[in-house]
Amino acid sequence: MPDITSSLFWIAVLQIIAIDIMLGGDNAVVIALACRKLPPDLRNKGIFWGVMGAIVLRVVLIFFALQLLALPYLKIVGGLLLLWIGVKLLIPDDDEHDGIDGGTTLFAAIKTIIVADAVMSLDNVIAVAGASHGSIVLVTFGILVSIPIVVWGSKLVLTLMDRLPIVITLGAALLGWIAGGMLLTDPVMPESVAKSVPYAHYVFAAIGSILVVTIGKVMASRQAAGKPHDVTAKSTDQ
Amino acid sequence: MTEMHHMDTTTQWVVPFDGSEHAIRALALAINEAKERHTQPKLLVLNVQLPLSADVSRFIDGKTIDDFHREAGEKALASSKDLLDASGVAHTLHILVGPVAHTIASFAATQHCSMIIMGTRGHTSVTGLIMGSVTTRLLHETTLPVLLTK
Repeated sequence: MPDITSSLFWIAVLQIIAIDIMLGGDNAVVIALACRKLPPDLRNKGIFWGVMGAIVLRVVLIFFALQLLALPYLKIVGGLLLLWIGVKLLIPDDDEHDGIDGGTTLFAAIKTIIVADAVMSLDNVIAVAGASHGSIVLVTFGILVSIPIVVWGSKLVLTLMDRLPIVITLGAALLGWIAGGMLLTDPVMPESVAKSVPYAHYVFAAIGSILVVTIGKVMASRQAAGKPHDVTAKSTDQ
Repeated sequence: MTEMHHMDTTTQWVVPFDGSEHAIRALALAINEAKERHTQPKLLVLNVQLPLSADVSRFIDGKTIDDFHREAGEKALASSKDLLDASGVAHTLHILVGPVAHTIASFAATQHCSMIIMGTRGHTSVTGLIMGSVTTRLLHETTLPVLLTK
């Protein structure tokens, strides 16, 4: 049982909430869109099973992530992945993926939702596993917080990011911070590294943050701002 | 998007519209201002939808996403219809997807509009500092005059 009076515990709690907000909103949109083409009587069923699937998948993934992160080298892999996830957050995505067709059957919709959930939960899971330092209480808390965000949060998150783009930068910096800490705490990292640098954890975390924000900003500046996309129906364009 | 603008010499004003009361007040003002003018300008009523992330478009086809944006945009624009139809002022409705401030500015430029008329939320200075940034950013991004209403 972690010490809930310690400030470290509450910092981890805040980090997990921030991660859930940054990396949790897309699932709800995919669920809603995958179920759009379903007949109305099946739509709620699709949304319900989609959300359930998303939550169960997240629990399973995070359980595996915690086991894996205890193995040598895997925190280094996780930390590097997390650095990349942070950088990606800062690059506006301009490339048009042509998504798989939503499908009009309940089965097709649920399949789309589950595949999307598995891929999109992965970054969230790695980040939460990193921020929780293996504490099962914190992990459970992270999952509970992410559920309402998965279900209702996306519109709020999109608006927040449009109004306050600095939120994205702060989120990326946080991911870099956690990644830096993960790299340092891998079992293969010799203890002399942590001991030779004063405040090694903070130094590594800060370097992670700076690295992510710098690389992200440089890559983002090379990419032209996306062109607004017109979706006006012909009939309203009198 | 209309390809007619180069032969169209009427003055055009952009009215960003999100369906809120502020937007309705701004539209009412735009209509009144338009009626006052000797040659009536045309109102381009624009609803901006926020883009979804690339993670979403990887799993959902583009047409479904466009339909989703269009539906949300039409819902937001619905409350502008009565006002516009009753006014008799020439107008078109537009739904664009993009970051709000940038989209309004670039739409106004490509459509050769001469003014932007929009509502602000009327925040106090502190909340305005945090939340009022769509207006602030629009002022940075456009060279056109912007008429703000409260």
